Amino acid sequence: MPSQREASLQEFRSGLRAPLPLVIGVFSFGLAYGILAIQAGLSFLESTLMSLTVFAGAAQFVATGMLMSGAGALPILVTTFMINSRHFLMSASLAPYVGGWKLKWKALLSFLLADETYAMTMSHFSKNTPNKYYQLGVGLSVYLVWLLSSIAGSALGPLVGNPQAWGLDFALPATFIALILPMLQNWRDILVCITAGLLSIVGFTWLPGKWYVTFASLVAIALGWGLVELCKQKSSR
Amino acid sequence: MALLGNARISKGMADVMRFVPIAVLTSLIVPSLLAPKGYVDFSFTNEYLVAGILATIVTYRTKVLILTIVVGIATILTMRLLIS
Repeated sequence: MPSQREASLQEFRSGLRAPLPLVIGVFSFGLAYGILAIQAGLSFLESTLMSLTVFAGAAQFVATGMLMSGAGALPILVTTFMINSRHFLMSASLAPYVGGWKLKWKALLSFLLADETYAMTMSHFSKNTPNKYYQLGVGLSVYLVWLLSSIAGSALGPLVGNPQAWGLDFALPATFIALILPMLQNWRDILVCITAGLLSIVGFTWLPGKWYVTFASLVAIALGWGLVELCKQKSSR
Repeated sequence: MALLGNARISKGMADVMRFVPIAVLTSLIVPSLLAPKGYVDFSFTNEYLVAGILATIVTYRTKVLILTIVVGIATILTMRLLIS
């Protein structure tokens, strides 16, 4: 009969090994992020610190891309908040399993929460007894892969020289596409998206600098707001 | 889990806030896809446009981020090879 300590260690090890199939994905994403961050002008230290403390792949990518494009602080904050809002949902669905655990465990595990971690943990918990060491193992291994790959990317960044030549500059638009699509849940969202797209081209052609972003966004958001109000009025009749 | 569970935003605000990332992210990338060289290029020789279309399809069907990125970059490299 294994001791309590041995059993926990076993769970931990098992958790560490679990995300192996996902490692390639996390690694290449981290690599792309590191390279992108350097291109955006972040120093090696800054980009690594971001991975170290934020650890939210998509949000880091988006924030970096937005910074590069000169977006203001407010849109970056709102967007990051929205992208990470899925964390609320993930946390909420994990809550029934983690209820009894101490606060410091919850804090550590929330920090380490990532899409991959969540997927592995949920599937494991549906079959076995929830165990905080398992989740810690999964969280840590994903975090470490992310961190190491973004460090590697940041180190490679200056060397890659001309990422455009390799098509690497498409990593950012590709990520944005992957993020935007799920956000389009009804016809209003789609209309706002199309409007923003069209106006951004118009703005790009006619306005100086990066103003096209603000211009297209504000008009598209106003349109969205108008549509929402319109629908509310219709339904209250 | 620990900290943010109590944040509350009025429903009206939330309704509009959802448009912010949609509008901002879209307007950030569309010019880089449709006008990578500074002028609008709708033709199929615009590798970014083609890559963007394929990436959208891949995202729609698979929802896998890495695949989207890889397909996009591969498309660009392939087209450049074929066109040059």
